[in-house]
Amino acid sequence: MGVTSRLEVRVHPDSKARLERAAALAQVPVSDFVRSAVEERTAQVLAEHELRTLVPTDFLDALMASLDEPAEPNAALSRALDRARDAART
Amino acid sequence: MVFRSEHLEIDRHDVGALDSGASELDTWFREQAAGAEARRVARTFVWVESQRPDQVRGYYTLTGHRLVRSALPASVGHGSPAEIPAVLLARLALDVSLQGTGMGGVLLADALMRIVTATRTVAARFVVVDARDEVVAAFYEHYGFRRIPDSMRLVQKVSDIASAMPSP
Repeated sequence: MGVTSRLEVRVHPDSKARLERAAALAQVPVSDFVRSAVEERTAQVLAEHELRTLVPTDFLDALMASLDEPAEPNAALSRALDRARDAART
Repeated sequence: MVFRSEHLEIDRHDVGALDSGASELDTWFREQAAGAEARRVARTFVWVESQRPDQVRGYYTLTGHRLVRSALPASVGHGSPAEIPAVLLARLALDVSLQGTGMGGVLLADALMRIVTATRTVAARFVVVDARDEVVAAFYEHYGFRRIPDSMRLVQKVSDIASAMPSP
């Protein structure tokens, strides 16, 4: 798919001058420079999001405590697991 | 209807045919699943029909994951861990032709069975799932997942899932 969607952001004039200079140093058009920088950062944030979930400290403690409690099967999950044994062959 | 649940093989599976109704999930599958496999950052499994083994009707993606304490309270220190190992069910998508038949729950169950088996080899205490919206969050809650506060993610203990599995 081509680059057809438009994204506009306001930046400080100094910041714009800096990134124009950086784009010139990198020898690419400013729009290419901005696009690739944003895409790189996006990929980084999304990858990080796949690696870990930040959990409020009280909730993390509750999760830790729950590990000592006996296991409790969920009824709907039990039925789905039972169906999966017949419906999905590995 | 019986499906084969198998590891994604990009040479054999048609990644373009899936229509889950969630375009970001279809696009990721079409454009990024193979790359994630190659880089070993995510494992993708697909459902195919026995009669049409190239036709993908659903998929899910698994990665190693950690639950991380968002901020250490001042009083902390004494042995309370900052992280818990987990498995992330990062994506789960079912073709629209199969939706509304309970098969979404069965696809979830298939993913969870794989996770329980994997945790016999590599320890993880929780399964984390990613909900795109409230409908998806309610779907996971129905199957025993609990919401993480201020997050679109939910968790369930691996031991709870294992206890729901039918005895062999």
